[in-house]
Amino acid sequence: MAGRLHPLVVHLPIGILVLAGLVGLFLNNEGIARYRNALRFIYCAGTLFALIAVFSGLNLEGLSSYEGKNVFWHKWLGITTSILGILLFLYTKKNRSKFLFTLLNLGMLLGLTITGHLGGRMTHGPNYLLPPDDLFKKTDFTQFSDSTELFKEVVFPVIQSKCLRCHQSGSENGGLDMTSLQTLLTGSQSGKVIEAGNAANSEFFKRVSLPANHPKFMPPNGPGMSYNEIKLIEWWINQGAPEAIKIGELKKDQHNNEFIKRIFGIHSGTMDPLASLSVQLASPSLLDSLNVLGFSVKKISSTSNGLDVVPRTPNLKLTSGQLAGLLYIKEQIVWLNLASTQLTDEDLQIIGQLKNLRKLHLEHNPISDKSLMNLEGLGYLEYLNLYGTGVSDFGLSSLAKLKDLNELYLGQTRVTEEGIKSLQQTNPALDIAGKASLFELSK
Amino acid sequence: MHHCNDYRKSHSRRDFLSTSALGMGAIALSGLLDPLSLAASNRVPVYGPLAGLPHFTPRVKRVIYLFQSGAPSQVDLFDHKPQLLKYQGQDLPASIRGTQRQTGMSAGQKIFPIVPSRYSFKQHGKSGHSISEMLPYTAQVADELTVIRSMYTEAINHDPAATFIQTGSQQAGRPSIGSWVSYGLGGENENLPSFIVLLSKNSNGQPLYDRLWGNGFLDSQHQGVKFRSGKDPVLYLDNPAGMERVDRRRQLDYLNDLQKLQQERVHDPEIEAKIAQYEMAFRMQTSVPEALDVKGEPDHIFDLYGPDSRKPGTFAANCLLARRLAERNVRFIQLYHQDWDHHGGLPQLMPAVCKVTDQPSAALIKDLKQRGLLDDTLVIWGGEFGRTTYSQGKVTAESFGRDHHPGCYSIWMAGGGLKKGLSYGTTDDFSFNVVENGVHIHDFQATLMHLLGIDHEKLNYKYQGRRFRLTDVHGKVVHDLLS
Repeated sequence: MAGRLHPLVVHLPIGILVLAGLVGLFLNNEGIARYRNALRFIYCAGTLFALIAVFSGLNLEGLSSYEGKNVFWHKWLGITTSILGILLFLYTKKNRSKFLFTLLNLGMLLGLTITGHLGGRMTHGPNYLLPPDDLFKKTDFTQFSDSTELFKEVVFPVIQSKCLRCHQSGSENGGLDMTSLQTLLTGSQSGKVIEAGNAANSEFFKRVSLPANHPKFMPPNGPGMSYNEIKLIEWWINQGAPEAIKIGELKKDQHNNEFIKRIFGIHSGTMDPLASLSVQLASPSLLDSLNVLGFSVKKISSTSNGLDVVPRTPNLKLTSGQLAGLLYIKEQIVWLNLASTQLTDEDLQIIGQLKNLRKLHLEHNPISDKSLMNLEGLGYLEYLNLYGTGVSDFGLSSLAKLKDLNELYLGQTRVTEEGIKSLQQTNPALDIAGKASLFELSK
Repeated sequence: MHHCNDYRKSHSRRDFLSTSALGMGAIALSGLLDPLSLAASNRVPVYGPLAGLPHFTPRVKRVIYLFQSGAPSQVDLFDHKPQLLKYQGQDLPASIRGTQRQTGMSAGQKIFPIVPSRYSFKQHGKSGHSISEMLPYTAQVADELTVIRSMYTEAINHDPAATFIQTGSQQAGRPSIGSWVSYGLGGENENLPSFIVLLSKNSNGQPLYDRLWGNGFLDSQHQGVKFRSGKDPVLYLDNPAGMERVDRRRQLDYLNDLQKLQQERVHDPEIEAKIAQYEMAFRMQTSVPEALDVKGEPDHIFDLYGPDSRKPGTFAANCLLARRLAERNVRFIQLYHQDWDHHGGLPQLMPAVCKVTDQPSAALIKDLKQRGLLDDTLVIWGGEFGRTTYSQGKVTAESFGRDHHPGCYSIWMAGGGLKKGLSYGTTDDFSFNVVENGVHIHDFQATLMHLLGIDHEKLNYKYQGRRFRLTDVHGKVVHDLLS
């Protein structure tokens, strides 16, 4: 326990002994004689505290993980300095050679300086005297692009800021050199610190993810890694600790998607599904007249010229004359809702010409299989609602050609389980809500 | 153009109709269909979206918000904390309690005895959502749900908290979410209001105020219209006995002429709003009875929503109506159910309110899903804050209670544009603090608006010298929730 106080007590003897050394250097023999008692008192006090520092240091050596050349020289120079302090205390008892006195003082000051420096190197890292900006760069996880190299540009900066001030070349600090991936993978004196593909078994990950007050927690001084940084190390090791891999080449498995997204700032939610649509802007006067015709026609969004069309009054019959009005905007319509409008199979010939349709609501209409043939040309159709219509298995064959279709609603129709099964075989990605009650299976 | 000049826009339509040949042809055509509807439509256009809206491609076109007023206990429903059993009856550690604000109802307690949930939890579906045995029906639709377990709010009492989540401000006076949506996106059905509110009849607990669905400073046609259960869903909507529909039409025509005279003199947008509302009421005289008439619904639908769905005014009946309104393209349908404020007697009250709400909520998801409407509808289930992991008052074998807890709570959403089956956010082992991915009320609102294609930072309204928006100056879209 006393060892833990070492960093605290070392500063006192440094101050006192520096004062003693300087006073000793500047006094002549006459001065020494006049202030002998005071001078001896300073040497005595400084040396006493130096000895306390030495003993606490020796105690700390057993407690801590410090090792290597630094510790050796720090220890012995510290002891030497203390001995010099004792000698000076004894030497000043009587009048003696000023030359030897000066030499002893210089030796003690030099010893103090070097010992202190080595101590600083151990606690603050070998480069503690250099300006800190290139050592403590903050990891900004928002500026990465697909060509960013995972290890070099994302993982290594974390190591650099959190580990590298101690773990450099040489046998110090467990013999772990983290200056390059090769030396990091080589490991420390006690073996490998990374088991590629298994973070839970890797000493590196274990140490940085321990509770901060655990004696083995790394880094021993300063703030530990942030949550994101720890997760990054874990994930990188689990990926097999690769060196030359770019963010764009990473396999984005379900489990880690959220995390990758968070640290790399990739959002899939903002992708515009209509980004590829390029059609002319429909004239406002045309839209106004379609409004009078009975349709509410709106631009899908400010960034797209696609149109969203619903009847102004739902559940009313639409005539083929009204529907024909839609042909004025046949390129632009991407969403069309014609639920419960008493459509006939003939009306579907008009709908079949709206070639950019993405979503089509035809539910609750007395339409049959014949209608579906008209939809074969709607190559971009993604959503088709046939709930409560007269379609059957026979008509589904027309839908097999719709490659983009991914949602299909067939409830309350004459479609059978077999029909759904065979359609599912031709289009496995299609999400079909069929006859059977959807959720009974999960009961 | 400055919004003070908005009145000028009202001329453009008339100008168009008098000059465009196509327009005249179209009028002639639609005039053959239904003279009465043409008469009405010529006067009032459907409320369209504001210029430039939606800001981007919407993922959903409408919202059904099942507001659970009083605040359901996340500890007993969604936020499973098996570790709490170890601490049963012990004082909540001060390190966990931290600086969390407490209400006056329990702040004075000498100890805060931890009460683990007395209900068992199971993981359900492929998503593995942990859901309490109290919600067996919700568990059936687990894979459709996106559960946020890390919601947190700033308010600690019902009124400010409900006002906060509904309007973005704890002080009353701002527009409700539905009003903002109606203002920004307009309606899709010219015969029904774009923002409709349904309250559960005979549910007790914290009072609900009309301002929760109020329009604030927005034009008054954007306020939520409350539909009552029973003979008159909207009060004073029907013509008095003996008055014919044609007479009412004629009366409105004269009234409109008078109001337009006034409008040309003072250009007050509220006059336009008034005309619009009179016209809407006229159309609602037929559209509302049609929309709310559930006689045609088959038995299996009533069975799906549960026996209560045959009793008008229950939460179940309202869920069924919500589906019918969604089918009619109503933009924002808001249900309120009270009874969740379990300060005491939770073991008795919780099963009762779950029994009333669980099956209809899940049925709504199933029904929308099978009809293909869940694809462009957003369904939200949740309250205004959470409840404490410790008991308010004594814990006995029969009874205990939970106090208000703004620090964390759970809600679920379902519908288009969301990651189905995602469980988002983490709380600590006590269900007391958010540990990861906290979702603030403003974040939730921003995400809701985003799904509708609205940039929550851009939809604002200048009032009394400054621009207001739903999320005030806060809120981040939670992209992690979006597919």
